[in-house]
Amino acid sequence: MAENTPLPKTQDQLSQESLGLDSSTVDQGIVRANQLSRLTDNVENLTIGIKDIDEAIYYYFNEVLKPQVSQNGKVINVPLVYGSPERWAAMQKDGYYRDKNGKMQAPLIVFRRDSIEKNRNLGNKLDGNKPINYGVFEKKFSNKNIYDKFGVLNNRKPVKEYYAVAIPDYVNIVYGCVIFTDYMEQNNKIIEGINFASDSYWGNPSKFRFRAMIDTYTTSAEIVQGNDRIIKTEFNINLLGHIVTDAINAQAYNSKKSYSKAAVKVTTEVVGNINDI
Amino acid sequence: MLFGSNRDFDLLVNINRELLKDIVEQEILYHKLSLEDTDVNLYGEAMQKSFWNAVKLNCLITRGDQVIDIQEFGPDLGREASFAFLRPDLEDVSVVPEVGDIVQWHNDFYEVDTVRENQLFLGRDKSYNLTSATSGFGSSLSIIVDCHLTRADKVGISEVR
Repeated sequence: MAENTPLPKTQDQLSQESLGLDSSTVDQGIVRANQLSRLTDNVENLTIGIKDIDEAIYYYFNEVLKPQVSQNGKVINVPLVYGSPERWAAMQKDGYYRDKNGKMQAPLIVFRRDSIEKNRNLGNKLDGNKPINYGVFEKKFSNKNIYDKFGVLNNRKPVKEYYAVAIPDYVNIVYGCVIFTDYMEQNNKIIEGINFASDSYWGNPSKFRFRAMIDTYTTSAEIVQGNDRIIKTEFNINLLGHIVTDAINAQAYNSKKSYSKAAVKVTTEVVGNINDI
Repeated sequence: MLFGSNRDFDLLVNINRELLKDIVEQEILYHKLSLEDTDVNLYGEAMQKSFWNAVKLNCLITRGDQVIDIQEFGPDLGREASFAFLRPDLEDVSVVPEVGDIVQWHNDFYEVDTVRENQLFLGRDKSYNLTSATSGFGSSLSIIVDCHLTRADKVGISEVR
C-alpha cells in the first residue's frame, strides 16, 4: 500500500528549525480564504493572446482601411494575407489572389510578425512565479450582492464580487508588411490610406485595440529577367501591445476571485489571566 | 488533321496503363484535403486537417536519396520524390493534383511542392484548341508532382507517436 510522501521542508522551515524554533508556524503563502471555486460562476477569464493582437491588425486592414485599387476599369479589394502560409492553404484555400494555375495576382498585402520586445516602461507584475500587482475588476451583478431589508437590519453591506488579473505583459511588436502591386499609382494609393491611419489605435472596437505606428515606407520597382514587373513597398508597423496569457503557469493568477467584506464584527472577550491567551 | 486523334491517344494511354498497372506496379495513396471541413486560421494554417478518402493510384516514382540534415535540434531526415501519373487515370477518379496535397508511399507522407503538366501528345492539348479543325486532336498525357517528405504528425492521417 502506497504511503503519502511527506512534503519537503521549505527553506524558511529549515531556517526556523536551525534556530530551534517551531517550523510548523511558518507562513507557507497559502491563504485558504482566497481559495474560491470558479466552478459555478460564468465569468470568462480575460485573455489577450498574441493571436488577438495579430487579428487586430488583420481586422483593421480588412474592415477599416479596406485598401482598394483600380485596375482595368474595375475596383479591386486588396487582400491581406499572413506571410508564409501552409502550401495547401495558399494554393487551394486562398485561391482568390491566384489564377487557376496558381499564379499570384497583384495587388496583395503580406504581413508577418517579426519581433516581440518586452516593454518595461509600463506596469509590471513584478514576479512571474508570484505576481504582486493585479488589476481588479468588479462584477456588475453577483448573486451574493442581494441587498434587502434583512441586510439593512443586520448592518450588512452588499458583497461585491471581484476578479483579479495579473498586470499584463506590455510588449512592443514589430510587423513587417509588403505591398505588392502591378503599378506605382496603385501602390501610392494604398500607402496614402495606411499612412493616414498610422499612430492610431488598430483593432476591432468590440475586442481589443492597440496603438500602431508606421515610420518609413520603402518603395522599389522591380523588373527581373523572366518575371513580371512588380512594385513593392515595405514598411514596419510598430505596435504597442499587451498580453494576458492563459498559459497553464499563469492561470492561477489570471482568474483570482474574491469577495468584499459584508460586515466586520468586533467582539469583546475578557480573560482573567494574560497567560491564558 | 491526320495524326494525334483521340483514337491514337487512347492507344497510347492503354499501353501506358498496362505498363503502370501490370508491369511496374508502383502504387501510392493520394490524399486530398477537404477544404470545407478544414478550418484555416489567420496564419494560413490548420491545426487539424480533414482529408477525403484516399485514392489508390499507379504511378512512376522517381525516388530521391534519403538526406540527413543537421539542424538545431539534431539530425533530420529529408527526401524528395516525384510521382508521375497518367492524366486519364486521374480524370477517372476525379482527382486534380494541387500543391499541398499528400502522397502516401511506403508509409511515408510526401507533400506536393510542384505540379507539372507538360507532356502533351503531339504538343497539343485538345482542351485549348482555337479552331474546330483541330478539335479532338492532342491531349495532355501525364501529371508529375514533385514532393518532399513531410512530418507525418503534422499531416495527422496516421498516428506516429
